[in-house]
Amino acid sequence: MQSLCRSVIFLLCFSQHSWGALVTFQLKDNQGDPLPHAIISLFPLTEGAIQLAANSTPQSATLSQSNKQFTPHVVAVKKGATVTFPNQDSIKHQVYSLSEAQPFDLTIEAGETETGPTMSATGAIHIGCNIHDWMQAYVYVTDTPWFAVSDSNGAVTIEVPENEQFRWQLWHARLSQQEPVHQGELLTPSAPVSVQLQTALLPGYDEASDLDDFDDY
Amino acid sequence: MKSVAFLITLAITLSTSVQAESLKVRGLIQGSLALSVDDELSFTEGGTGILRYDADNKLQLSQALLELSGDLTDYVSWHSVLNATHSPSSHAGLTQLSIKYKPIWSSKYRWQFKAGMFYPEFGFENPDIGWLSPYTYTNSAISSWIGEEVRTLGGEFKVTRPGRFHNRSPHTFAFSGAVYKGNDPAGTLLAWRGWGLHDKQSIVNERVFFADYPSIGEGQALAPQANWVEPYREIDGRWGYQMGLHWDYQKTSRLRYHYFNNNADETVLARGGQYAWHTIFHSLSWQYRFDRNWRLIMHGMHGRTAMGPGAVLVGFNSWYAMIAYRDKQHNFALRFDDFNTIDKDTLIPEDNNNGHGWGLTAAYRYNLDEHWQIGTELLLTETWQASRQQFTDTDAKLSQQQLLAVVQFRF
Repeated sequence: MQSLCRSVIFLLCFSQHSWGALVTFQLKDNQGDPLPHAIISLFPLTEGAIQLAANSTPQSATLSQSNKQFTPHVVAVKKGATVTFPNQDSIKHQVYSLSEAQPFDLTIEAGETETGPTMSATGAIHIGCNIHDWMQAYVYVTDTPWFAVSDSNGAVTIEVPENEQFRWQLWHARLSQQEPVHQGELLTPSAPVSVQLQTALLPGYDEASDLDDFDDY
Repeated sequence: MKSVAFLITLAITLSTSVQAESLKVRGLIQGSLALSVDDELSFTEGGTGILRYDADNKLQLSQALLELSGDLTDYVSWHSVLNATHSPSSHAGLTQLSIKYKPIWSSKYRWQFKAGMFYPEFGFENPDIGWLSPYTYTNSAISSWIGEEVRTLGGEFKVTRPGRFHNRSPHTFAFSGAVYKGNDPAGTLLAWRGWGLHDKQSIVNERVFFADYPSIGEGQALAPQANWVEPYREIDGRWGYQMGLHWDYQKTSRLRYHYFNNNADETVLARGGQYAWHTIFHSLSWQYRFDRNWRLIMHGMHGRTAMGPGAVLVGFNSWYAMIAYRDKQHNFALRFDDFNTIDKDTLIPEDNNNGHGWGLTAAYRYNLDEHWQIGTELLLTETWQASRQQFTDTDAKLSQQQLLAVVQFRF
């Protein structure tokens, strides 16, 4: 639901551009179950969209810490954007990344907000908390203004300019390798795109798992 | 009671006057009333009973503790626990004091370094504030003994290999190693009293008493041994060590193996009748969480302890299994303990360290709010300890029952 809300907020931000066409994706894992926390990026292939993309301003994203968990689990930003980290807990967090794309380390006191570095390289950035080892999240940095994170139903909606051609690409933290089905091309306006993964996701803790009171013991 | 007043004053002073961002103050105070006890005098009062409550000590301030912690830098934190006790006598002081360094070095492995006085991560029974159990009031036999005689006074490193950094494996492994001093008398209580069932953690410089057995009395070969132990005395100047291997499967199944060897020189006797006891044990514990509410905790220990040149050699074994339920209000736990000590020396036959027994503990605890909790616990135990026969009026076999009503306040 949060992913959906964020997608909606994202769309509202972009609505000033009046892109005009909505592209929807329905994502499923190899079992046929909805695939949340996946990111669809649309890379422009035609001149008009390439120009629009080049002129677009990166929008910052927010990764909160609440109840000793990151929310949402995955955020996406355009290259050049920043991510802010509001700490909504009553305890301190130490948010860090050792990912090659963007290493950083932020100490965030209870109730305070810190802003991370400018995301200058594309790729997935694994975020952790040095105090609470189970906390983890991803910032996915992509080089296009057209992207969104799939919601709990595996649905993605992205507003894009009409009559432009795009290459779409899917990313998920628990994919061991890219499969051919993880990308394709489309021309806007486009019919809804359905994607089903062919191989199983790696095991993981993508959902805010049920924490034990004594996990840090 | 002075010591408790001291802790309360310290807590109020710290929490009101010190608003330093990094200082965290928490505390807990717990009173227990034994509604039903047997007549056997508790070991804490010099008897041969293995429980904390007896007919003369029904009402006790069972826990009074203050936890102070804070950060020195972004990567260095400190942690301390002050406890007060009045059984058998009033005493306040530290049970834990450590400094922890947790750097961010590697994207694949997590490192942690600790120094000071702290509990090794043997089992899963005592994750609450001040190493208390959130499940039962009375600890298992294993945890009772760890609480009274075993602590790391030294340095420990731990390296963790989180599965999520390794192709998102659900398996996380950790290895830890520690060197320490000041744990030389560990094993004394097991040799004569045998295993106990209680919630008393010994404080630095506290003397833990046991019965004045005739075999350690005047004129006997073991006469230099006192009928009390100062668990954290350094006697032989040698370093002890312990190492652990942890395996977590997501948050569901957690397994911990530890090897402990205090490397004590069993021939050394210190003033006050304190021997260095060469104690070695293996510890294996497992926690399995069925769901958010239910869990199973098991722990086994197998070891031996030796004192004097060939004077005392005792094997010791214990295990327990506990099933526990927790939700926001209700907490229920049921535990079965089994334990023994095996006399393996031949030098002094009149000092027989054989013993065995079991315990069944059922506890219900109800959270009134975030501060107050009330609860009750029934404990049944049957033990046989050869050393009791040294007293003419005492049977080796002992059945004990204890029904507690407990009020706890935390802040």
